[in-house]
Amino acid sequence: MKTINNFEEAAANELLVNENHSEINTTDNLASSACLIRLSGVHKRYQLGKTTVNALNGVSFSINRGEFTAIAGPSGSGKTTILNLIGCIDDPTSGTVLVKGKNHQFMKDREASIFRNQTLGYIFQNFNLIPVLSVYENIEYPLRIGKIKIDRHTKEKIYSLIEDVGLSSYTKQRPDKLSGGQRQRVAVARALVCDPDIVMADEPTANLDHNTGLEILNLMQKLNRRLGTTFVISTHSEMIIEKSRRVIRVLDGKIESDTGEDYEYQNKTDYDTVDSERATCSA
Amino acid sequence: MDHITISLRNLLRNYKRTMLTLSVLVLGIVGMLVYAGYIDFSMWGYREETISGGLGHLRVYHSGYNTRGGESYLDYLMENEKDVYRELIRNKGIREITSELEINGLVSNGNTSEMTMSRGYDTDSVSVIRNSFTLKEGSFVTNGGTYQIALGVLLAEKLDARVGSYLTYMTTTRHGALNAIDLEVVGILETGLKEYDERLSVMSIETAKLLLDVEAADKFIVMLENTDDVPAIAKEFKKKTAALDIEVKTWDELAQFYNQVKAMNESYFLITQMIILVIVAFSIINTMRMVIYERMREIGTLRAIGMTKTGMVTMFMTEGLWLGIFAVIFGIAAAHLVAWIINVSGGIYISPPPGQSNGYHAMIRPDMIRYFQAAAIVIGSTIVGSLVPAIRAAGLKIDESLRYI
Repeated sequence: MKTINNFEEAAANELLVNENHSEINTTDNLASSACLIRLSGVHKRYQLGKTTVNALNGVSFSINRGEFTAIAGPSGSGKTTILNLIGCIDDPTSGTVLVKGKNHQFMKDREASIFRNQTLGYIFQNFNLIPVLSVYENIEYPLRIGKIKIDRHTKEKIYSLIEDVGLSSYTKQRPDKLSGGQRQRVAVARALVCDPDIVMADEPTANLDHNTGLEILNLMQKLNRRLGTTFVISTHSEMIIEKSRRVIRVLDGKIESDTGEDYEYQNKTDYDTVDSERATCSA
Repeated sequence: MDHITISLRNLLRNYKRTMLTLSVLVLGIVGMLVYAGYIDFSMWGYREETISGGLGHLRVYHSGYNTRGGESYLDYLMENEKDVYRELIRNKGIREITSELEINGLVSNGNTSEMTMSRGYDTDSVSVIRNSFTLKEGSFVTNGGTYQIALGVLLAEKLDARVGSYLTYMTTTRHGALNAIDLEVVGILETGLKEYDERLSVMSIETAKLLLDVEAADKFIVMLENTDDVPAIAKEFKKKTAALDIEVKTWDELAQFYNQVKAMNESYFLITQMIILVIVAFSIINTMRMVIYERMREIGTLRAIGMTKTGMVTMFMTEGLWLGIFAVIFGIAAAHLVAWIINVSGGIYISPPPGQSNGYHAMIRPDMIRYFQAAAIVIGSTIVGSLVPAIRAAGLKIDESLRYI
């Protein structure tokens, strides 16, 4: 599989760097150094009463920084399980899941929580907004959880995000006063407020009509391009699959197909942090 | 948006359930405080009755009277009573000082003799005597009332004595000689306690001294303006009279029965508190469990976006704490209102206690210490009650919480 080969190449290049202290080749190493997510031989088994369900059977792939990836498949194929593993909210039965080079299984709760807060953003099918908080407060809340000081700068950032998602007139509204599309826009803004490296979206358009779903998708793509945030979307929506630059198809807990790593974004971007990330991704 | 605000909003989210839970807690507090107010009123009444009923706030004896006195108490009379009185009267906050001499003997109408326990009072200080008994007939033994006696109502019945009757009082003097004096019955008294009414008689201290052939009282009974001043005045007086070879006892050191009744009531109250504590804790556990099931997905979301387990526990415990705080505020206000209504309407009639002939109207006596106790118990139990569900919420698997429907 192509992704696996890339990792092997990256590891070889890293070895070369370590041993010879030489300059490394550009394209391949950019790709490897920018990798954010790596799944290697991941198995996940659930116990459903007396039945053991094999949700994932030896899944391996990697996702690079800035990719806009759809994980597609029918219901029960294992796409949400993959998302949960990447999102550090579930543990694999075997295999390794590295996010930003870190395996959350070895983290304590506090460390894992901080990691999720600062590295990952979540968009859920059912929006999962906090009903007692206004639009502004819902978006601000992850910053509060992350104990980030809410000063003028952060407030400006929140209002800028609200403007980006087109909800400037609704800042004080509670979620129950918003339409489904508006709620999902709040969820998008909330997912992005801590400047995460990765945003995970679990069937983000499933509860929305076609046009609203398309709006949300366009919004996520716009933010992906503008902010460089990596988006991983689990979906069975053909609209999302068509518009994603990379599609990993899952069936019965296995990777059925992968359109391959998405270099489009990376080739257009100047990385400031290549050196530090290289070490992480090759670990 | 901190924990305090978000948890407050969460409480208002399902206000019907919050109100229901609050009602349980408020009822618990009202029950606890009204019961405490009743006990406190009863004990306060009993305390004042005990003090004014002859015990006094302070009693001053010759050293050794209480430990070695007993049957030979006449060997421990206050020979220096004038010096002691002079020291006593100098203290502020003293309402009345009276000297007393106990005397036991036989009282006879010529046909029947009955044993009597008598108290010889300084009749200049009459309030102690007047508050000790109810005058059924006649008058109290007054100043200069040597050769007069007032009898307990049942003792008078046994002796077929009325006001104006003459009885012979017989006793042994300090030196063992038999002594007898004829006394005029000037009053019939009632204490409400059958045993007392059958045995009690009162005379002037001069009469008692004559009968016993002694020159001194066996104690001073000191009444203060305010019962709360007892510890301070007792301490001060002990310091001042260290050289006078006397011992000072406060009312609570002597009122054994009062202390036993108080301890018993406190035990009942403790049991009530424990029951209410359990009710409060279970109400909170039940409410919080419902809250957790309702907000399962929210819990998963908060954990996913970075809330720590500790943060989750804090959030739910803050909700429990809010419930406790509201319950305390409304509970104390409601208890105060109920107490006011009961007091204004004249109290609750309580049947005569065992051994007493009269019932009484119980009032509710509010007490800040009880309020603090109730607040501590309810807030403590809401914290404990919300801790268990909060830990459970924090321990939920994030992916399972998010899947929960």
